[in-house]
Amino acid sequence: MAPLPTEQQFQRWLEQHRGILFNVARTYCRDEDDRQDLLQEMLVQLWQALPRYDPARAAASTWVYRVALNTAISFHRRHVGRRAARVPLPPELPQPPDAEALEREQQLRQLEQFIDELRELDKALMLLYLENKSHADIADILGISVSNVATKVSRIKEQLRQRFARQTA
Amino acid sequence: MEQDEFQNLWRQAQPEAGPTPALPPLGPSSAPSLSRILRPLKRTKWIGVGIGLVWVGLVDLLLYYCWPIATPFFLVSIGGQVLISKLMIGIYLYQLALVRRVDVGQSIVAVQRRLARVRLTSLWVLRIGFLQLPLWATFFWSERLFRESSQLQRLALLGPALLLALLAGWLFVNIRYSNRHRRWFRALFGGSEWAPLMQAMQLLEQLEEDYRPEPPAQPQRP
Repeated sequence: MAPLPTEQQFQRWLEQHRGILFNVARTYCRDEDDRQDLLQEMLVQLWQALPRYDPARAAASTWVYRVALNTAISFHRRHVGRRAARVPLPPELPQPPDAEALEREQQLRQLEQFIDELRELDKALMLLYLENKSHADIADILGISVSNVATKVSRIKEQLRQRFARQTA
Repeated sequence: MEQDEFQNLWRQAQPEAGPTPALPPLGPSSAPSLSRILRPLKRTKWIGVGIGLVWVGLVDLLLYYCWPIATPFFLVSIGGQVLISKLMIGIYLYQLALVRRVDVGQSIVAVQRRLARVRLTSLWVLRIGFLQLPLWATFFWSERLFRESSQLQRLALLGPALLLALLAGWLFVNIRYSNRHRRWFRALFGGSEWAPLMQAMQLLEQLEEDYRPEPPAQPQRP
């Protein structure tokens, strides 16, 4: 049995995958306090689940996505009623200096609104698609077939395309 | 907007990933998965087990001391009631064992399906719990009560017991996942205390409609 990692080793390992955690937290929580809570929860879950991680069965990033998304979905379900009314605009975005940037920001808000309206599992699929994961990777993380992933991704993309087309019109 | 531009937009809009938050105090790394998120679920179950154990302990004591003097109606009613309570405690303990077995590193569909099913076993607790209903209308019966009562009084004794038995049977048969869209079901479980159960049903519905796991491939014949 492999020796358990120390907290310092865990921190170093985490640095390689923190982008995944931030993106998952961003997808499931618009509220900054919730996002920090979720990030902490993900760290705890990663730490607790690490002894059961088998590199022969899943790549590290696949496993981190699974832990992060499972945590986020369960967290989101618990908090959804409490915070439903609060969906502030992302504070980190600067004021748009010109028309192009303004349009970009509008598109981003549309995209975020679209993600907010998706159901929990569709949100996970959408995030993995936006992160440019292959269908095989998405299938592995979610636990469904590649053909099912392809069907669902194309359906969600079509909905998104229609949403943007309506707004433009 | 071209479809691939969605990915570009997402990438461009990504804020700089901040510093990794400081690790909270970490317990032993073999602690059960989702332990903090599922704490309310587990707390409810443990409270149920605790109260249930105290209740069945008291009722068992009552049965032990009343055995020589109590009427058969009392013994059967209370005995049945305590038996059902023990069954409910058993289901709560089974749920807690299931929660401990969740491995958060498994695929999303597998983990979320298991969690939804754990929550849905609460329906079994309810169904069995409702079977106690008629026993509350029979424990005070005695042979003397029936011997010395008029037809009307007997009807007043038997009527509620019969009605409660019918209601318990109906609820036992009908409180199930497939009836989740019925109006009476929504009225019964419309309170905020049932929100986790209803959310689990919505998630299970989503899993069954859109996220069915692929069946294992059949070995090809030569």
